[in-house]
Amino acid sequence: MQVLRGFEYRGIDSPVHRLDPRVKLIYSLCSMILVLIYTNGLVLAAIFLTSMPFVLLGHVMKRWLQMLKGLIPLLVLIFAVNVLFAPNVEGMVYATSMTLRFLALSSTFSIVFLTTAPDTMAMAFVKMGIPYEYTLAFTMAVRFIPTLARDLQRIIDAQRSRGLELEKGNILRRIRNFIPILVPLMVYEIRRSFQIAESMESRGFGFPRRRTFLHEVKFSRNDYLVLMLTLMFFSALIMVKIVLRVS
Amino acid sequence: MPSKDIEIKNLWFRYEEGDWVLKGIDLEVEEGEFIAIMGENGAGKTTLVKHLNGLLKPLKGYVKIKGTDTRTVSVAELAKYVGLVFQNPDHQIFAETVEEEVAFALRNFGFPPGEIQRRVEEVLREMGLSKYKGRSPFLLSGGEKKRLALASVLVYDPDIIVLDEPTTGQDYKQKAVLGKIIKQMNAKGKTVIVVTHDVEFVVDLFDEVVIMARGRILARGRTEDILTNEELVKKARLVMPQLAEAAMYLEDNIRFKGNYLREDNFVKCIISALGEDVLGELNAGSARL
Repeated sequence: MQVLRGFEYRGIDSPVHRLDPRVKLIYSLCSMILVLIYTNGLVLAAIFLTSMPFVLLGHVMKRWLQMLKGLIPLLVLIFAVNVLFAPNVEGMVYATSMTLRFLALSSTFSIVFLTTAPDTMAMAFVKMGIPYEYTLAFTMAVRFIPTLARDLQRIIDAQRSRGLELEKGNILRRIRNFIPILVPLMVYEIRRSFQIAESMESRGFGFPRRRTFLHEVKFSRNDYLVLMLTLMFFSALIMVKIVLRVS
Repeated sequence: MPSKDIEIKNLWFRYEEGDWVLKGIDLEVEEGEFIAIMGENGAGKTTLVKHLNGLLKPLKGYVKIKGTDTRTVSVAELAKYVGLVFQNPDHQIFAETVEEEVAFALRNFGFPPGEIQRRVEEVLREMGLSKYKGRSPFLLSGGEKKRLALASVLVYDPDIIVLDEPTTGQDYKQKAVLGKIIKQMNAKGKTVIVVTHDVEFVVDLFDEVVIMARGRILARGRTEDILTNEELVKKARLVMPQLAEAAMYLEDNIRFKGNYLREDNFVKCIISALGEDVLGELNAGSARL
């Protein structure tokens, strides 16, 4: 759960929050490509460090660290599994790279989600030509994560009050223990989604052919600056890959 | 000799990254007591209730159920003594049949099959749900679901029964049915605590009320004293019972005294305040009409 908090948007204001979501998406896309084509630990570490200016300028250090802390078990697992398959020095180096790769990947995505309101993100999607219905599905999914978490907690509370012990029994029993939690959750959320659809239709959703927006996302000077830096960094590392043949 | 069922001392609680929700709650409930806890939304009622079976543990102070500190035992262990019925039955209904739904807690507590059968049938009869026993619980009406949720707790016969907002979304008739069931449970010797902001429900049923506001207990006492205390009711942001409000208007004009929260008493108060003469005139008036 702590990991999720590292992806949850909070409405604070900072230069990073004000950036056009498209720029942030391009940044994380570039990082993703780089992270996937490189296995060199130093380069991966460098890519990971490009998160730092965003984290600092965006005032999201606390959440970002929470995310990292939550990732620790997963990072340890990735490292351990890789070492297990190649228990030598090379294996250790490779395992370190894999761990760094995952770290860098999580960090860039965390930044995008931490500093971009779901609505703004949706607008960016619309601008990129994605149909509004799909972007709306995205924003609503994000919007309902906390609601879902709250419902889940209530259901767990109710069933524990009837003597359900989640931690009890062997693995089969433990899986069975989740039925009284998952059934009400699914029924409840499906019902809720019908209600939302009805209330949206009654407010005219789907009627206008062409939607207009109250606020529109626009590129500012900072957006061009960050975009330029990102693309420079990206092409430089691509060059390094091609010319110097760094792994 | 009545012993203490619930003993709460200086209970403080807050959720992660939040303000204090409960700020030093002190509350003692004896065996067989019948109490309503009232307060506006966000007063901390549900949070308090979740401490009674250990779903939440105190950050400061302690909660003891029948002398046992809730921090020392599991929720399942406490649930045997404290039956908690939550506001929304949809948060707990999952089984394929009404019968199975009710049997869930009994199976968790390891009752023998024969006993389960007997108890389920008995409680379904009491709740008027016998005819639905093989049906899917998802197909029941709102009121029936509420009674099903209640049945699924009553079936294992806990000593203390706690209901969180039992009247929300219930029509007048369902409310009356619920009220009767709750009263019966208390008559059988159960300790009953009901959390609600339904003033009329409390007036009709309860002799004792606890008022909560912003994480504290403001007052505890007899319903007729507490709910007619204008200042207190205002402070807890509740609404006065309609009869109390009517009585306040009358007090300005006529001598109006006594316990007027229930209809029959209210009428008696009016009669005694008006005196026989006025009544005589009134009767003559209506006779002329």
